[in-house]
Amino acid sequence: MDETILDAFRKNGLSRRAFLKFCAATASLLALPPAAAAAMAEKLATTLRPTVIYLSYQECTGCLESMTRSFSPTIEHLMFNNISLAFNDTLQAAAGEAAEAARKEAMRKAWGKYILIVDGAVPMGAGGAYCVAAGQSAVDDLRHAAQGAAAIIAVGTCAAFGGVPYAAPNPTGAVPVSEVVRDRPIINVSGCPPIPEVMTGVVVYYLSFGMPALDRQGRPLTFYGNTIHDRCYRRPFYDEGRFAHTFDDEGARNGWCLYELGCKGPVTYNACATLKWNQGTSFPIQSGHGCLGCSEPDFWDKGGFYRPLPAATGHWPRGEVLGGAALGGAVVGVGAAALARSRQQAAAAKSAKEVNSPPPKEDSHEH
Amino acid sequence: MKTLDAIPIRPAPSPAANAPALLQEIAAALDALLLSGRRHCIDLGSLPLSPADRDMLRETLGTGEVHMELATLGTSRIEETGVAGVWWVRHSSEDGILLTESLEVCHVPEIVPADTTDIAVGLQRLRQRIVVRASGEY
Repeated sequence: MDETILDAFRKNGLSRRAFLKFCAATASLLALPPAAAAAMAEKLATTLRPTVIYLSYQECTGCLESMTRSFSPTIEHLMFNNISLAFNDTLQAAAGEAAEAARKEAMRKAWGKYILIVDGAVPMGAGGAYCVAAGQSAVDDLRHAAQGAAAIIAVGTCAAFGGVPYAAPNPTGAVPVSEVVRDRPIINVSGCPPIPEVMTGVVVYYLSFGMPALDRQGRPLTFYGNTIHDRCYRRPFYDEGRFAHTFDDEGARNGWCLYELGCKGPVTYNACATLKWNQGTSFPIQSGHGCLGCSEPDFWDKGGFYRPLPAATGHWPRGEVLGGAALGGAVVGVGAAALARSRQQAAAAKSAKEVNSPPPKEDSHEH
Repeated sequence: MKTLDAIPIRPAPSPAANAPALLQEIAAALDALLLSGRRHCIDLGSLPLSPADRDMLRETLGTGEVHMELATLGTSRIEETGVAGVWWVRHSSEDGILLTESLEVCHVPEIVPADTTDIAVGLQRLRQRIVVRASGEY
């Protein structure tokens, strides 16, 4: 039963070239340097396939929908080669008491060693009665399952930050996983939903290198180290001060920057601009709509998706990433931003008058 | 009835903002390769490249003499550009989806030469075939 990940690979008759290709693709996904791919290959060759328990609470299953569409590594690849998915109430064939029994058995066998994936917020109101399965409330269930976990991956903005259930007025008293569990390592993989390849990529990263470096929101820096704005292909227009002002104007048709239409790209840390969605097809900004900031805490309550960000975004990209070539416009950008800011303040003042509510608070994200 | 083609959509023109910096990085990597033999790899998937950036890269680097196709876990295209030592590498999955695209600066990409273990396995297989053939014919 103690099968290593390499054993699983060998069964599929992989050559070294195939293995190198797999490692190159995965390292690229994880934004690792090519040298790290070799280290990853070595580690994966000797690691035992860990048990994974996937629990769902206050959630819409959008995260799982997203995850099953991961194309590299695919969820099938993960399940057949890298992990042993012991419990997921949506994907598994068993149901009812049989499913609960299988889960208890899997947890008992791997107690202290399994990876716990949690999807959804946890309602604390009314003694946890808002979310109950098999006679147990979500909060009790999570407390128990966390005790036997080596690490917890909080998948989606609901599990990571509370998400939509946590949005004002939060009628069920929803909280993120980190407010229920305080004595276990937690990796937050936020997004509504997260990018599929980020979810499977974090699992592979954890298996290869253990806990990833996290930002102050508990998110892996490999995927959440840059803002959407830092890596946006429309960034050159921002640097030139060329903006769309309505969704049907000359600027919108020309594909200019959506900053003044409320794009939250400058304060949103995620990998959409590089990994993109639907097998690398596109991402919201490429489709002509600003970023909603769904991977940030309280994105639902930040005062409107179409309200422009208030003036300065409070941070500028660090230049150490990928040889500097990636950040071509960073220095030019500061000057252009000053220009954008003054134009932008006028727009903000105008919309504040119209909406008559306080401007969203400034997000000064640091690492 | 209007078809999708009848709706006037034109692709957004975007300036080539990052290609010039990338070309400088490639030049520096070639310098290092000549001086110390150090390989370099630029992962294009993690960079914001506009179509104009890609055109500029392709035009400036040109087309070289070697085109290889690797058939394992889907197809991979490995092409030398017009600048010797600069390779354009594209790995695709079995479904034809592009997994990773990179520019490698080296004499030959690491994935190309046959691996020692694979050679040993191949040799074993060849010897078995020779034996089978010999026993079958006589």
